[in-house]
Amino acid sequence: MNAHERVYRSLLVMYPEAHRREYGEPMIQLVRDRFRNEGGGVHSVTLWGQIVWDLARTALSERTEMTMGTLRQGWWRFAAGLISVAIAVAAVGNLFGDWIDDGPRHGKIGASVVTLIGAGLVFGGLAIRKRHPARGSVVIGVGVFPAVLLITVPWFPLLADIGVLATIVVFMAFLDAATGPRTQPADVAR
Amino acid sequence: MAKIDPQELSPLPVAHLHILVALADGEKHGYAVMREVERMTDGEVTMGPGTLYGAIKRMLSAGLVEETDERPDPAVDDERRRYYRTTGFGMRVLTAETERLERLVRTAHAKQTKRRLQPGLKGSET
Repeated sequence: MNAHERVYRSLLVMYPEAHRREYGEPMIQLVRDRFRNEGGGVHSVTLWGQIVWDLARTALSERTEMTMGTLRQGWWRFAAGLISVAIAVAAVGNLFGDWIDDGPRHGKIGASVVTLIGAGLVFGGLAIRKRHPARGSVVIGVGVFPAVLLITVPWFPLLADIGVLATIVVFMAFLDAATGPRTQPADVAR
Repeated sequence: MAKIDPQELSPLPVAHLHILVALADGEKHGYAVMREVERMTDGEVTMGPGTLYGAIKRMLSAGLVEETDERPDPAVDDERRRYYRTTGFGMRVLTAETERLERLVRTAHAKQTKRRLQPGLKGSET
């Protein structure tokens, strides 16, 4: 590896890590080719001028694009997380409301643990940046919320709560559609 | 399954257009694409590594180009090189974009001709 390559390799840190991982080596190869075929003397100075200008311009645009993408995804994750919290708070509040009225029951405590684990799974899923955070929330909400209700409330309020739950599920399915991976033109055009 | 209309990607960014034209006659690696673009623009456009691979990344994701599986003989070329070629969709997009540019050039010529033939117009030849 010559000095030009070493310097360029160290400058690649200006690009986002994902871009560097995917295209770092081909970019270094291009610089190697250019200096081997076009470099030498004053041409090397001209080449470095072009390379630094290209690097400053494109590294900035790659970083901007990555940040905007993260913000767009982050907004939907935040919304999905907020709904998950609402589910957990509603379920746990319902549990402890009954607990205060009627005294503790083993089932309620067990259900509250399940609810808290469910909420933890949602945020765990969000934390590791799953591509379907809202789908995870729907699964946990559908599984945990009715289970809690069945243990803690009589049948009439249960029907009303299931109506609320259905609305939440529909909203989360919408979120899921919005946050899921998009079909690439490459997949549909070939 | 939905099909993307090539005209939906129009107008193409200039770098994408240059790369599509460079790859229209066969697969090439990054440096060869850069040299071909330089050659066909009479040296007016030189793509740096960031511009070239940023454009290739977006073109791969849009399905305009693809990386080829074949690798050159290590005795002849560096086997670490990546080779790219246009997809069928990429060729259709190139055709649509070329036709759009041809229409634009024809319109520009027609307007310039009209201007030259109207001596009273400001900026026309006398």
